[in-house]
Amino acid sequence: MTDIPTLSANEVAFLAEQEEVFVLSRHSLPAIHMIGPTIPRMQALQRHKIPLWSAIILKRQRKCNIVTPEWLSIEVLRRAVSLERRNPASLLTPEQLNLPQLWPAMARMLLQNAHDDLIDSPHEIRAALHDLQELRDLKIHRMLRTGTQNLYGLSHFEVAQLRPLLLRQINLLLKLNEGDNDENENGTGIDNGINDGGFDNHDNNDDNLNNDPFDSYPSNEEHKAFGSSDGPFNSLTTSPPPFPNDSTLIEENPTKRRRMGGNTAPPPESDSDSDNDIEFRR
Amino acid sequence: MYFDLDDILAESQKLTGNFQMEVDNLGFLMNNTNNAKITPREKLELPFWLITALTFITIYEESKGTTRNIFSVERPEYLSKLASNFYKASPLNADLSVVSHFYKIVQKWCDFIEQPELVDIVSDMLILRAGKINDLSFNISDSQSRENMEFLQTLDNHEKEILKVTSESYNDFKTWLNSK
Repeated sequence: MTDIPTLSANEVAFLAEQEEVFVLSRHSLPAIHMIGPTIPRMQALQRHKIPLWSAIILKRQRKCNIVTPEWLSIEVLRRAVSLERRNPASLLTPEQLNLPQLWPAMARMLLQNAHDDLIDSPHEIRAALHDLQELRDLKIHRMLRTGTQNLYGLSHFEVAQLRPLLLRQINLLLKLNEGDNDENENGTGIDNGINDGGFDNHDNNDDNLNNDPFDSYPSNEEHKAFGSSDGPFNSLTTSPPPFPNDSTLIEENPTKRRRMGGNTAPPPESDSDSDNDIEFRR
Repeated sequence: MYFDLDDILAESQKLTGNFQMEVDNLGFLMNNTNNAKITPREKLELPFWLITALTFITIYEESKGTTRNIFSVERPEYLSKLASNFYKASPLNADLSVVSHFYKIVQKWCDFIEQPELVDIVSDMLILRAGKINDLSFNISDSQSRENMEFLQTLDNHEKEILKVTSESYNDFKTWLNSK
Protein backbone atom coordinates (compact mmCIF):
# COMPACT_ATOMS: atom_id res chain seq x y z
CA MET A 1 0.00 0.00 0.00
CA THR A 2 3.03 2.22 0.16
CA ASP A 3 3.12 2.85 -3.57
CA ILE A 4 -0.06 4.90 -3.61
CA PRO A 5 0.72 7.86 -5.85
CA THR A 6 0.76 11.18 -4.09
CA LEU A 7 2.08 14.63 -4.81
CA SER A 8 4.54 16.23 -2.46
CA ALA A 9 4.48 19.93 -1.71
CA ASN A 10 7.43 20.47 -4.03
CA GLU A 11 5.68 18.71 -6.89
CA VAL A 12 2.62 20.86 -6.36
CA ALA A 13 4.87 23.91 -6.38
CA PHE A 14 6.31 22.72 -9.67
CA LEU A 15 2.82 22.51 -11.14
CA ALA A 16 1.98 25.94 -9.82
CA GLU A 17 5.07 27.33 -11.52
CA GLN A 18 3.71 26.26 -14.88
CA GLU A 19 0.75 28.61 -14.59
CA GLU A 20 1.09 31.68 -16.74
CA VAL A 21 1.25 35.23 -15.50
CA PHE A 22 1.60 38.60 -17.18
CA VAL A 23 4.87 40.44 -16.84
CA LEU A 24 5.88 43.94 -17.73
CA SER A 25 9.30 43.66 -19.24
CA ARG A 26 11.90 46.31 -18.48
CA HIS A 27 14.34 45.29 -21.18
CA SER A 28 14.02 43.87 -24.63
CA LEU A 29 14.87 40.20 -24.52
CA PRO A 30 15.16 37.66 -27.31
CA ALA A 31 12.77 34.71 -27.45
CA ILE A 32 13.88 31.52 -25.71
CA HIS A 33 12.91 28.23 -27.33
CA MET A 34 12.71 25.29 -24.99
CA ILE A 35 11.39 21.75 -25.03
CA GLY A 36 8.33 22.89 -23.16
CA PRO A 37 6.97 26.37 -23.55
CA THR A 38 8.54 29.04 -25.69
CA ILE A 39 9.21 32.31 -23.98
CA PRO A 40 8.31 34.97 -26.49
CA ARG A 41 10.54 37.82 -27.56
CA MET A 42 10.01 40.57 -25.07
CA GLN A 43 9.93 44.27 -25.72
CA ALA A 44 10.48 46.82 -23.05
CA LEU A 45 7.39 48.06 -21.23
CA GLN A 46 5.04 45.63 -22.88
CA ARG A 47 2.86 42.97 -21.30
CA HIS A 48 3.82 39.37 -22.01
CA LYS A 49 2.33 36.11 -20.81
CA ILE A 50 5.01 33.72 -19.53
CA PRO A 51 5.13 30.83 -17.05
CA LEU A 52 5.44 31.79 -13.41
CA TRP A 53 8.84 30.18 -12.96
CA SER A 54 10.44 32.22 -15.72
CA ALA A 55 8.71 35.34 -14.45
CA ILE A 56 10.27 34.74 -11.04
CA ILE A 57 13.73 34.29 -12.53
CA LEU A 58 13.42 37.46 -14.60
CA LYS A 59 12.07 39.32 -11.61
CA ARG A 60 15.06 38.29 -9.54
CA GLN A 61 17.32 39.59 -12.27
CA ARG A 62 15.31 42.82 -12.21
CA LYS A 63 14.40 42.41 -15.85
CA CYS A 64 10.65 42.58 -15.41
CA ASN A 65 7.79 43.44 -13.12
CA ILE A 66 5.09 40.87 -12.50
CA VAL A 67 1.60 42.14 -13.15
CA THR A 68 -0.47 41.16 -10.12
CA PRO A 69 -3.07 38.62 -11.18
CA GLU A 70 -6.63 39.79 -10.70
CA TRP A 71 -7.38 37.25 -8.03
CA LEU A 72 -4.50 38.23 -5.79
CA SER A 73 -6.24 41.30 -4.47
CA ILE A 74 -7.91 42.15 -1.22
CA GLU A 75 -11.21 42.60 -2.99
CA VAL A 76 -11.36 39.12 -4.53
CA LEU A 77 -10.01 37.38 -1.45
CA ARG A 78 -12.36 39.15 0.96
CA ARG A 79 -15.26 38.37 -1.34
CA ALA A 80 -14.18 34.72 -1.34
CA VAL A 81 -14.08 34.68 2.45
CA SER A 82 -17.55 36.14 2.74
CA LEU A 83 -18.88 33.75 0.09
CA GLU A 84 -17.49 30.83 2.05
CA ARG A 85 -19.07 32.17 5.22
CA ARG A 86 -22.44 32.51 3.56
CA ASN A 87 -22.34 28.83 2.55
CA PRO A 88 -21.42 27.01 5.74
CA ALA A 89 -22.82 23.71 4.47
CA SER A 90 -20.73 23.27 1.34
CA LEU A 91 -17.35 24.06 -0.07
CA LEU A 92 -17.25 26.41 -3.03
CA THR A 93 -15.17 25.51 -6.03
CA PRO A 94 -12.16 27.70 -6.84
CA GLU A 95 -13.99 28.80 -9.99
CA GLN A 96 -16.85 30.12 -7.92
CA LEU A 97 -14.37 32.07 -5.85
CA ASN A 98 -12.49 33.34 -8.93
CA LEU A 99 -9.29 31.70 -7.79
CA PRO A 100 -6.88 29.45 -9.69
CA GLN A 101 -6.74 25.78 -8.69
CA LEU A 102 -3.36 26.07 -7.01
CA TRP A 103 -3.97 29.42 -5.40
CA PRO A 104 -2.17 28.83 -2.09
CA ALA A 105 1.02 27.83 -3.86
CA MET A 106 0.87 30.59 -6.46
CA ALA A 107 0.04 33.20 -3.86
CA ARG A 108 2.97 32.13 -1.75
CA MET A 109 5.43 32.37 -4.62
CA LEU A 110 4.11 35.72 -5.77
CA LEU A 111 4.14 37.15 -2.25
CA GLN A 112 7.64 35.93 -1.73
CA ASN A 113 9.22 37.02 -4.99
CA ALA A 114 7.16 39.94 -6.15
CA HIS A 115 5.79 41.60 -3.04
CA ASP A 116 6.84 45.02 -4.31
CA ASP A 117 4.76 44.57 -7.47
CA LEU A 118 1.50 43.92 -5.65
CA ILE A 119 -1.19 46.55 -5.77
CA ASP A 120 -2.61 45.88 -2.31
CA SER A 121 -0.44 45.70 0.74
CA PRO A 122 1.16 42.27 1.08
CA HIS A 123 0.35 41.78 4.74
CA GLU A 124 -3.33 42.42 4.16
CA ILE A 125 -3.28 39.90 1.32
CA ARG A 126 -1.53 37.43 3.57
CA ALA A 127 -4.16 37.89 6.25
CA ALA A 128 -7.00 37.43 3.78
CA LEU A 129 -5.35 34.33 2.30
CA HIS A 130 -4.86 32.97 5.78
CA ASP A 131 -8.51 33.52 6.67
CA LEU A 132 -9.71 31.87 3.50
CA GLN A 133 -7.44 28.89 3.92
CA GLU A 134 -8.43 28.41 7.54
CA LEU A 135 -12.10 28.62 6.72
CA ARG A 136 -11.81 26.06 3.94
CA ASP A 137 -9.68 23.72 6.03
CA LEU A 138 -12.30 23.83 8.76
CA LYS A 139 -15.03 22.92 6.29
CA ILE A 140 -13.01 20.11 4.75
CA HIS A 141 -12.31 18.60 8.14
CA ARG A 142 -15.95 18.76 9.03
CA MET A 143 -16.91 17.11 5.75
CA LEU A 144 -14.42 14.32 6.25
CA ARG A 145 -16.01 13.45 9.54
CA THR A 146 -19.22 12.59 7.70
CA GLY A 147 -17.68 10.52 4.95
CA THR A 148 -15.87 10.78 1.67
CA GLN A 149 -18.86 10.91 -0.64
CA ASN A 150 -19.74 14.58 -0.34
CA LEU A 151 -16.37 16.17 -0.92
CA TYR A 152 -17.14 18.64 -3.65
CA GLY A 153 -15.44 21.90 -4.40
CA LEU A 154 -11.92 20.97 -3.41
CA SER A 155 -9.19 22.82 -5.23
CA HIS A 156 -6.32 20.86 -6.73
CA PHE A 157 -4.07 22.08 -3.95
CA GLU A 158 -6.39 20.69 -1.29
CA VAL A 159 -6.80 17.45 -3.18
CA ALA A 160 -3.04 17.04 -3.22
CA GLN A 161 -2.96 17.53 0.52
CA LEU A 162 -5.75 15.07 1.19
CA ARG A 163 -4.83 12.43 -1.34
CA PRO A 164 -2.84 10.14 0.98
CA LEU A 165 -5.80 9.95 3.33
CA LEU A 166 -8.56 9.82 0.74
CA LEU A 167 -7.08 7.10 -1.44
CA ARG A 168 -6.53 4.76 1.47
CA GLN A 169 -9.92 5.52 2.90
CA ILE A 170 -11.78 5.00 -0.37
CA ASN A 171 -9.85 1.84 -1.21
CA LEU A 172 -10.70 0.31 2.13
CA LEU A 173 -14.35 1.34 1.98
CA LEU A 174 -14.61 -0.14 -1.50
CA LYS A 175 -13.02 -3.38 -0.36
CA LEU A 176 -15.29 -3.58 2.66
CA ASN A 177 -18.40 -2.98 0.62
CA GLU A 178 -17.65 -5.04 -2.44
CA GLY A 179 -18.35 -8.30 -0.58
CA ASP A 180 -22.04 -7.46 -0.53
CA ASN A 181 -22.03 -6.43 -4.12
CA ASP A 182 -20.59 -9.71 -5.31
CA GLU A 183 -23.31 -11.76 -3.76
CA ASN A 184 -26.46 -9.90 -4.71
CA GLU A 185 -26.99 -7.84 -7.78
CA ASN A 186 -28.83 -5.05 -6.05
CA GLY A 187 -26.09 -4.82 -3.49
CA THR A 188 -26.66 -2.08 -1.04
CA GLY A 189 -22.95 -1.62 -0.61
CA ILE A 190 -21.73 0.34 -3.55
CA ASP A 191 -23.51 3.09 -5.37
CA ASN A 192 -24.41 2.67 -9.00
CA GLY A 193 -21.83 5.26 -9.84
CA ILE A 194 -19.23 2.58 -9.32
CA ASN A 195 -20.91 0.05 -11.55
CA ASP A 196 -21.20 2.55 -14.35
CA GLY A 197 -17.44 2.69 -14.25
CA GLY A 198 -17.37 -0.47 -16.33
CA PHE A 199 -16.65 -3.33 -14.00
CA ASP A 200 -20.14 -4.68 -13.54
CA ASN A 201 -18.99 -8.09 -14.68
CA HIS A 202 -20.29 -9.91 -11.62
CA ASP A 203 -23.64 -10.42 -13.27
CA ASN A 204 -22.74 -13.70 -14.94
CA ASN A 205 -21.66 -15.20 -11.67
CA ASP A 206 -24.73 -14.31 -9.76
CA ASP A 207 -26.86 -17.21 -10.98
CA ASN A 208 -24.35 -19.79 -9.95
CA LEU A 209 -23.73 -18.41 -6.54
CA ASN A 210 -25.33 -20.31 -3.77
CA ASN A 211 -26.85 -18.51 -0.85
CA ASP A 212 -24.80 -20.30 1.71
CA PRO A 213 -21.11 -19.84 1.18
CA PHE A 214 -20.38 -22.67 3.59
CA ASP A 215 -22.14 -25.37 1.67
CA SER A 216 -20.90 -25.22 -1.83
CA TYR A 217 -18.71 -22.48 -2.97
CA PRO A 218 -16.86 -23.73 -6.03
CA SER A 219 -13.27 -22.72 -5.90
CA ASN A 220 -13.15 -21.29 -9.40
CA GLU A 221 -15.97 -18.95 -8.48
CA GLU A 222 -13.79 -17.66 -5.80
CA HIS A 223 -11.09 -16.88 -8.30
CA LYS A 224 -13.49 -15.04 -10.50
CA ALA A 225 -14.72 -13.02 -7.61
CA PHE A 226 -11.21 -12.12 -6.62
CA GLY A 227 -10.21 -11.39 -10.18
CA SER A 228 -13.06 -9.05 -10.85
CA SER A 229 -12.68 -7.43 -7.49
CA ASP A 230 -9.15 -6.46 -8.36
CA GLY A 231 -10.45 -4.08 -10.99
CA PRO A 232 -11.76 -1.27 -8.84
CA PHE A 233 -8.66 -0.85 -6.73
CA ASN A 234 -6.25 -0.95 -9.58
CA SER A 235 -8.23 1.50 -11.60
CA LEU A 236 -8.58 3.64 -8.54
CA THR A 237 -5.00 3.69 -7.52
CA THR A 238 -3.71 4.33 -10.99
CA SER A 239 -6.44 6.73 -12.02
CA PRO A 240 -5.78 10.43 -12.15
CA PRO A 241 -6.26 12.35 -8.94
CA PRO A 242 -9.81 12.14 -7.63
CA PHE A 243 -10.84 15.61 -8.49
CA PRO A 244 -14.22 16.62 -7.18
CA ASN A 245 -16.39 15.70 -10.13
CA ASP A 246 -14.83 12.30 -10.53
CA SER A 247 -17.57 9.71 -10.29
CA THR A 248 -15.25 7.32 -8.50
CA LEU A 249 -15.53 9.53 -5.47
CA ILE A 250 -19.07 8.38 -4.96
CA GLU A 251 -18.97 5.24 -2.95
CA GLU A 252 -21.46 3.41 -0.77
CA ASN A 253 -24.98 4.55 -0.23
CA PRO A 254 -25.28 7.95 1.29
CA THR A 255 -25.01 7.76 5.03
CA LYS A 256 -26.87 10.22 7.08
CA ARG A 257 -25.35 13.58 6.42
CA ARG A 258 -24.66 15.62 9.41
CA ARG A 259 -25.71 19.12 8.58
CA MET A 260 -23.57 21.83 9.84
CA GLY A 261 -25.86 23.73 12.15
CA GLY A 262 -25.76 27.22 13.46
CA ASN A 263 -23.16 26.32 16.02
CA THR A 264 -20.57 26.12 13.30
CA ALA A 265 -19.78 29.78 13.34
CA PRO A 266 -16.83 30.64 11.12
CA PRO A 267 -13.74 31.75 12.95
CA PRO A 268 -13.76 35.42 13.83
CA GLU A 269 -11.64 37.55 11.59
CA SER A 270 -8.56 37.72 13.68
CA ASP A 271 -6.57 40.89 13.89
CA SER A 272 -3.70 39.03 15.42
CA ASP A 273 -3.06 37.36 12.07
CA SER A 274 -2.27 40.57 10.31
CA ASP A 275 -0.02 41.58 13.19
CA ASN A 276 1.86 38.35 12.89
CA ASP A 277 2.25 38.92 9.23
CA ILE A 278 3.79 42.29 9.73
CA GLU A 279 6.29 40.75 12.08
CA PHE A 280 6.86 37.97 9.64
CA ARG A 281 7.72 40.43 6.93
CA ARG A 282 10.24 42.22 9.05
CA MET B 1 -4.10 -11.56 -3.39
CA TYR B 2 -0.72 -12.03 -1.78
CA PHE B 3 1.09 -8.90 -2.78
CA ASP B 4 0.53 -6.94 0.37
CA LEU B 5 2.40 -7.75 3.53
CA ASP B 6 -0.53 -6.54 5.60
CA ASP B 7 -2.75 -8.99 3.76
CA ILE B 8 -0.51 -11.86 4.76
CA LEU B 9 -0.37 -10.70 8.36
CA ALA B 10 -4.12 -10.27 8.48
CA GLU B 11 -4.73 -13.72 7.07
CA SER B 12 -2.43 -15.30 9.61
CA GLN B 13 -4.57 -14.04 12.48
CA LYS B 14 -5.80 -17.06 14.38
CA LEU B 15 -9.42 -17.91 14.89
CA THR B 16 -10.89 -20.77 16.90
CA GLY B 17 -12.97 -23.53 15.48
CA ASN B 18 -13.41 -27.25 15.58
CA PHE B 19 -13.59 -30.16 13.18
CA GLN B 20 -17.02 -31.66 12.68
CA MET B 21 -15.65 -35.18 12.57
CA GLU B 22 -12.65 -37.12 13.71
CA VAL B 23 -9.64 -36.49 11.55
CA ASP B 24 -6.49 -38.53 11.53
CA ASN B 25 -2.89 -37.53 11.08
CA LEU B 26 -3.42 -33.84 11.70
CA GLY B 27 -1.94 -33.79 15.19
CA PHE B 28 0.64 -31.21 14.16
CA LEU B 29 -2.12 -28.61 14.03
CA MET B 30 -2.38 -28.91 17.78
CA ASN B 31 1.30 -29.32 18.58
CA ASN B 32 0.78 -33.01 18.98
CA THR B 33 2.50 -35.94 17.31
CA ASN B 34 1.90 -36.11 13.62
CA ASN B 35 -0.41 -39.07 13.58
CA ALA B 36 -2.63 -38.07 16.48
CA LYS B 37 -6.35 -37.76 16.02
CA ILE B 38 -8.36 -34.60 16.40
CA THR B 39 -11.88 -35.11 17.69
CA PRO B 40 -14.83 -32.74 17.17
CA ARG B 41 -14.73 -31.80 20.83
CA GLU B 42 -11.27 -30.32 20.63
CA LYS B 43 -11.11 -26.65 19.79
CA LEU B 44 -8.12 -25.45 17.89
CA GLU B 45 -6.73 -22.13 16.80
CA LEU B 46 -5.91 -21.95 13.14
CA PRO B 47 -4.82 -19.11 10.91
CA PHE B 48 -7.55 -17.48 8.91
CA TRP B 49 -6.26 -18.60 5.50
CA LEU B 50 -6.34 -22.24 6.56
CA ILE B 51 -9.82 -21.90 7.97
CA THR B 52 -11.18 -20.42 4.74
CA ALA B 53 -9.70 -23.32 2.84
CA LEU B 54 -11.02 -25.90 5.29
CA THR B 55 -14.56 -24.59 5.33
CA PHE B 56 -14.86 -25.02 1.59
CA ILE B 57 -14.38 -28.75 1.98
CA THR B 58 -17.65 -30.60 2.28
CA ILE B 59 -18.29 -34.26 2.76
CA TYR B 60 -21.17 -36.20 1.32
CA GLU B 61 -22.62 -38.73 3.71
CA GLU B 62 -24.24 -41.54 1.78
CA SER B 63 -26.14 -42.93 4.75
CA LYS B 64 -28.01 -39.69 5.37
CA GLY B 65 -27.82 -38.31 1.84
CA THR B 66 -26.62 -34.93 3.07
CA THR B 67 -23.47 -32.92 2.76
CA ARG B 68 -21.72 -31.24 5.62
CA ASN B 69 -18.64 -29.21 6.25
CA ILE B 70 -15.69 -30.77 7.92
CA PHE B 71 -14.78 -27.65 9.83
CA SER B 72 -16.76 -24.97 11.59
CA VAL B 73 -15.37 -21.70 12.81
CA GLU B 74 -16.44 -19.62 15.76
CA ARG B 75 -17.19 -15.97 15.33
CA PRO B 76 -14.40 -14.06 17.02
CA GLU B 77 -15.43 -11.84 19.88
CA TYR B 78 -14.53 -8.60 18.15
CA LEU B 79 -16.98 -9.37 15.34
CA SER B 80 -19.85 -10.45 17.58
CA LYS B 81 -23.21 -8.73 17.74
CA LEU B 82 -22.23 -7.23 21.07
CA ALA B 83 -19.01 -5.82 19.71
CA SER B 84 -20.68 -4.38 16.64
CA ASN B 85 -23.30 -2.70 18.81
CA PHE B 86 -20.45 -1.14 20.70
CA TYR B 87 -18.81 0.02 17.46
CA LYS B 88 -22.10 1.58 16.48
CA ALA B 89 -22.66 3.29 19.80
CA SER B 90 -19.21 4.70 20.45
CA PRO B 91 -16.96 4.29 17.44
CA LEU B 92 -14.30 6.55 18.86
CA ASN B 93 -13.89 4.46 21.98
CA ALA B 94 -13.55 1.08 20.33
CA ASP B 95 -10.13 -0.40 20.93
CA LEU B 96 -9.01 -1.78 17.59
CA SER B 97 -5.37 -2.11 18.49
CA VAL B 98 -6.10 -5.52 20.00
CA VAL B 99 -6.75 -6.84 16.52
CA SER B 100 -3.93 -5.25 14.63
CA HIS B 101 -5.48 -5.63 11.18
CA PHE B 102 -9.07 -5.05 12.15
CA TYR B 103 -10.41 -3.67 8.87
CA LYS B 104 -8.66 -6.25 6.75
CA ILE B 105 -10.07 -9.03 8.87
CA VAL B 106 -13.56 -7.57 8.71
CA GLN B 107 -13.20 -7.35 4.96
CA LYS B 108 -12.06 -10.97 4.65
CA TRP B 109 -14.61 -12.19 7.12
CA CYS B 110 -17.37 -10.50 5.16
CA ASP B 111 -16.08 -11.93 1.90
CA PHE B 112 -16.41 -15.26 3.57
CA ILE B 113 -19.77 -14.84 5.31
CA GLU B 114 -22.04 -12.17 3.97
CA GLN B 115 -22.84 -9.55 6.57
CA PRO B 116 -24.15 -6.27 5.25
CA GLU B 117 -24.97 -4.86 8.70
CA LEU B 118 -21.49 -5.44 9.98
CA VAL B 119 -20.02 -3.86 6.86
CA ASP B 120 -22.25 -0.81 7.28
CA ILE B 121 -21.38 -0.42 10.93
CA VAL B 122 -17.68 -0.82 10.30
CA SER B 123 -17.75 1.58 7.34
CA ASP B 124 -19.46 4.22 9.45
CA MET B 125 -16.96 3.63 12.19
CA LEU B 126 -14.07 3.95 9.78
CA ILE B 127 -15.38 7.22 8.39
CA LEU B 128 -15.82 8.72 11.84
CA ARG B 129 -12.48 7.54 13.11
CA ALA B 130 -10.65 8.63 9.98
CA GLY B 131 -12.23 12.07 10.32
CA LYS B 132 -10.91 12.27 13.84
CA ILE B 133 -7.49 11.04 12.77
CA ASN B 134 -7.45 13.66 10.06
CA ASP B 135 -8.24 16.39 12.59
CA LEU B 136 -5.53 15.17 14.90
CA SER B 137 -2.89 14.96 12.22
CA PHE B 138 -3.76 18.45 11.01
CA ASN B 139 -3.31 19.82 14.49
CA ILE B 140 -0.59 17.76 16.05
CA SER B 141 -0.61 19.75 19.28
CA ASP B 142 -4.17 18.55 19.93
CA SER B 143 -2.99 14.99 20.22
CA GLN B 144 -1.31 15.73 23.53
CA SER B 145 -4.56 15.88 25.47
CA ARG B 146 -5.36 12.83 27.52
CA GLU B 147 -8.49 11.90 25.63
CA ASN B 148 -6.74 12.09 22.29
CA MET B 149 -3.71 10.21 23.52
CA GLU B 150 -6.03 7.42 24.56
CA PHE B 151 -7.70 7.48 21.18
CA LEU B 152 -4.37 7.21 19.41
CA GLN B 153 -3.61 4.12 21.44
CA THR B 154 -6.62 2.32 20.01
CA LEU B 155 -5.79 2.62 16.32
CA ASP B 156 -5.49 -0.44 14.15
CA ASN B 157 -2.75 -0.78 11.54
CA HIS B 158 -4.67 0.84 8.73
CA GLU B 159 -5.54 3.81 10.90
CA LYS B 160 -1.97 4.15 12.05
CA GLU B 161 -0.91 4.32 8.44
CA ILE B 162 -3.55 6.95 7.73
CA LEU B 163 -2.32 8.95 10.70
CA LYS B 164 1.25 8.68 9.49
CA VAL B 165 0.65 9.64 5.88
CA THR B 166 -1.76 12.47 6.64
CA SER B 167 0.56 13.98 9.25
CA GLU B 168 3.40 13.76 6.77
CA SER B 169 1.35 15.31 4.03
CA TYR B 170 0.09 18.23 6.14
CA ASN B 171 3.52 18.77 7.57
CA ASP B 172 5.08 18.79 4.11
CA PHE B 173 2.65 21.40 2.84
CA LYS B 174 2.82 23.53 5.97
CA THR B 175 6.60 23.67 6.01
CA TRP B 176 6.66 24.48 2.32
CA LEU B 177 4.09 27.26 2.66
CA ASN B 178 5.94 28.80 5.59
CA SER B 179 9.47 28.35 4.28
CA LYS B 180 11.46 31.34 3.20
